[in-house]
Amino acid sequence: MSTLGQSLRETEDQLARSMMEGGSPPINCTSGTNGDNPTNISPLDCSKAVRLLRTANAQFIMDLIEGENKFGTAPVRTAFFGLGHTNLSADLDQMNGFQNVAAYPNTANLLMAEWGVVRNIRFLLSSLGSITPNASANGEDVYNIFLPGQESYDMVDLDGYSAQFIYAPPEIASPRLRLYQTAGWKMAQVFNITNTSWIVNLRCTLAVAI
Amino acid sequence: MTTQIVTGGFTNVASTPKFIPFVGQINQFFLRNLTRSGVTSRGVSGSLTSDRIVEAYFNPNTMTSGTALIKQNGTVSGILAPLQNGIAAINGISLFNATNQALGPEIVVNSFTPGTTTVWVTNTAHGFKVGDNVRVYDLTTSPEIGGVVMTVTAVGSTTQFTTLLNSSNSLTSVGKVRKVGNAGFPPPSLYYPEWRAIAAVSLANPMVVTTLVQQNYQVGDVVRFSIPAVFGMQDLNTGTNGLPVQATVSAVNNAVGTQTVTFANVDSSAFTAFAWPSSSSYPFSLPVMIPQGEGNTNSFVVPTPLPYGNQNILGFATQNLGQNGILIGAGDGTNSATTGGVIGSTVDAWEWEIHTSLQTYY
Repeated sequence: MSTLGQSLRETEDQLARSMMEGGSPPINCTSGTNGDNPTNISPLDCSKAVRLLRTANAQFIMDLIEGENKFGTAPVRTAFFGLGHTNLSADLDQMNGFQNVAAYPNTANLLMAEWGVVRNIRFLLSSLGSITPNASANGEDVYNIFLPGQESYDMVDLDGYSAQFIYAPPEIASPRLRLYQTAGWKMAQVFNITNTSWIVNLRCTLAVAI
Repeated sequence: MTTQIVTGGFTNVASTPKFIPFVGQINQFFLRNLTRSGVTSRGVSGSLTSDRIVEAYFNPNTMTSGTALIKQNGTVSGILAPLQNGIAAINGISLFNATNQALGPEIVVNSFTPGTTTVWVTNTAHGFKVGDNVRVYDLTTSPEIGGVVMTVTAVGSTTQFTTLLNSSNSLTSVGKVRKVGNAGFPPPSLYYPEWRAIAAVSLANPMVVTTLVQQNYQVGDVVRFSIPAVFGMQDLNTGTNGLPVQATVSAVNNAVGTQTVTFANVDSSAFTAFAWPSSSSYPFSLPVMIPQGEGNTNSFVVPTPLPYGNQNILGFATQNLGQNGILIGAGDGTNSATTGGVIGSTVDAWEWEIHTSLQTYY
């Protein structure tokens, strides 16, 4: 049963990812050091992406986390989420100024996928993150990091047809001999971008090889 | 338990792969070329033809994607032709998933000729057709155009093809290229509309933007632009009021090789010229046209009475274009190992069957 729930949510993630791949304006990381185009991600690229969004009046997703008197922690800026692939984790760890979630002053409302923060971007990493294979100037995989602002995209579902979990007991699934039961999920929903100025696809390659 | 059979037919476009959308499970696929078997159908006169594939079969569970078990006519004698049995090793039949499109093989680029359009020369036969989308990369002396996806607009020979990229500022280079899609296939992104990389922008009134691949926009669509400074024409990014420039599409020509969008409300005559930069500016972001919404088309077309006029028709709404199905390759209509393909250079009538088995044993 729990696997079905995971299947449902991962399917939703894939649909949202695909929508963002097609509709998010792309900007390349250009301040990294790996010599490719796009380059690996750098703090300056994060700042440029945030500048682009803020100039378009995109609203941050997360409030700041104020500093507290705890060893090894630092305040976290107001931030957009950066939705990326888990393969980016090593590159993020290598970045100057990267702050892992363990160094947040308050970890009460963290999401499981959150990896850390750079400048005004808090990164959520997933194995379902977007990759465009062999798409860089050097033929390497390009990682798409989506930075959505508030209300930049939404989800529309048919009335009464959002995600449904459906269980059929043996009396229904196999009424004659009652040999088996079934369980599954269905949905009729779609994601769409509401304002292309409030979302950015920050494209990068890796500096730390897989 | 039983087997479901779905049947259908189509008339192919010459030398163009055919996509048949199909949402169910596909266990077996059967295809017959009625025209080259001598059957008049779908308004196409039958013409029994020597050396043409007339039947093809594909089982995705047991056969290699992109191949087909075929029957090909031998030499026609009167009203009969002998049938030959064999395998189409290239441009056969494959299952197609729009979001997981298979990349073509890596092909070495020997050189290209810089110009307002770019002519590429490969080391070996590329197998591309007009309408294929290809990505070039690993261009050692012109990295600035590496990673760009472009539509093949002409095929000069088995080792030469042309794209709309304006490479006038680039140096010829060795590199690599591979096919990543086709203008006629459903797009890899599930949702329409997509942003598009810009090949060229005219200095004219109205302004005409040429894209590297087809854009599938509609009249009335509103777009904005993101042009990195190294490309010039910063006039398209932000107006004098500091707001992003928005432009409404007044005409679209999506023919492969043209790929233009016209903006009647933009006069670019006095803009700074747009040009792809040289390698000294590398790396940079792509110049792109970004769909923004749907505008009022009253300034372009005569308003029509309600309920059709002055309304948001949502033709530009985000739509899920993701499709699964069967893809039938195109070549010379034979099972030649180098130039072959199930669909040939003629316009033929076909019929097909898809079998969905509820129980299979292998």
